[in-house]
Amino acid sequence: MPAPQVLNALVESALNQALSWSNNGEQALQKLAGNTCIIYLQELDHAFCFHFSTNKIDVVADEQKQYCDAPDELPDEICWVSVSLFALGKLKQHNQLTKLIKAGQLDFTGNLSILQGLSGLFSELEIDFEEVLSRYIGDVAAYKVNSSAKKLKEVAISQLAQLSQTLSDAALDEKPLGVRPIMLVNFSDDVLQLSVDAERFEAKLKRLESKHMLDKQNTIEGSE
Amino acid sequence: MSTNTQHDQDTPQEAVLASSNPEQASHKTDFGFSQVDASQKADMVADVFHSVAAKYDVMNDLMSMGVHRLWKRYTIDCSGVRAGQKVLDLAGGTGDLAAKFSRIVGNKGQVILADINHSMLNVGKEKLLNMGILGNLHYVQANAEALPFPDNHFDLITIAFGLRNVTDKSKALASMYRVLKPGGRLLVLEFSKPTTQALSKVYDAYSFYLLPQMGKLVANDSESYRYLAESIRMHPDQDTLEQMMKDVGFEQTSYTNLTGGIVALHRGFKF
Repeated sequence: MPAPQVLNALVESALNQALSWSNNGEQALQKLAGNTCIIYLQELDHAFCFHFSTNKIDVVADEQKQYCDAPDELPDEICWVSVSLFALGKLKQHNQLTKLIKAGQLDFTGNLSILQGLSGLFSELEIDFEEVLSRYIGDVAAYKVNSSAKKLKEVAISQLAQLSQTLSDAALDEKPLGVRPIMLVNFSDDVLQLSVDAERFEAKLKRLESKHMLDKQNTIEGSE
Repeated sequence: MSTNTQHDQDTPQEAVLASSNPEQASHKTDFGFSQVDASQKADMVADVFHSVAAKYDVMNDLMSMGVHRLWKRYTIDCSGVRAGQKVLDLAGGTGDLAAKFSRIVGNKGQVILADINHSMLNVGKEKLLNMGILGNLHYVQANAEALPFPDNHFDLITIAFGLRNVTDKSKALASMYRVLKPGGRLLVLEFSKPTTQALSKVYDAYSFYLLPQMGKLVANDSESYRYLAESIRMHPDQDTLEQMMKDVGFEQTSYTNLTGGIVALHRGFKF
């Protein structure tokens, strides 16, 4: 089965689901309605077109390979972006776009406001997961699930921190696989001191050697 | 817009095809595995689709296990359609392709959902209105062999799982060629011939034994689904259909087999 079609079906469903869950999804989408953002993913050598309408985002793969290179000219309602997969996450940060362009991680043609709108779209979304859940399982159950999830998250974070501390102590003290920072500083100081001593010894050795050579020369001259 | 006219502004090319077509000359054509009078086929096909219209989407999902959505998505991905363009979705049935095209072409564009069968068209119209799709989408009851549109009108024509039900396929292709703009493309998504023997055997077993049973259980109509399986076998294979497209004038024709050739997407351009 064609992989790009499966991928864009999943992406499209996820995006539209997020929009439908958000309290301000349709409102946020209005700004982009009628526009198209073509995103060319450098590593995949494949472009995906995001068509925005008033209530939905349609994702279409570029099977014709029309958008693998920057188009010469584009109408106002289209923008083309070439981006690395690794820089995709940074597109969410509105103020990072110029930085990414300067760093060569982002190439771009067309109406920049569409890309800015897209990057702003998902940071603007307000999704209240408890409310979303309550539509399916009721208010009380949703509240309980949500509080349990929050507690679980807190417990998980604290357990992770504790596990990390335990592992670190074991590596430093019980099984000395690692060293504490102060030990590392002491070791660096000792190495530095040793290096200074070695240099001093070397200089003294040279001085003695040159004195010995001089004495030897004077003895030869005296005997003659 | 809902038009019920039969258009007869055939180009000379269409006229030649009509007179030279063996199906027309003998006045016999296939309806599944049976031979029927060519003038009766449209009505017989119409009866099949009147019968299945209400359960069409459910049956499509069941029969293909949802894969028909990916085949249609691939067709849209190959369309290269842009905002402001004019699209004709022929035999558009319940409007799966038209819905997406409508959003892509936007307010400046136009999509025509055409089907010869008014039951299918009504189901499609109701579904798309419920989805909030209106404005740039129009509905036309039309025969693919004599399309009621001006010459050089559309940027894209799609016909998904419809061509095999057309009585005179060459005449329909010529009619599509006429209404397509120079530079425009035709996409034909249709059942075809599996590329391997093993798949072919599994597919035969599935479509001749399981499919009519599913049709009986879900839509209470095993005969229509038996016709579906038979009509698929009688449809021209990949190379024959490509040649038929070339014969009516399409250029740069090609096809892509999907799911081992069970379905093929044919492409052709008018220059």
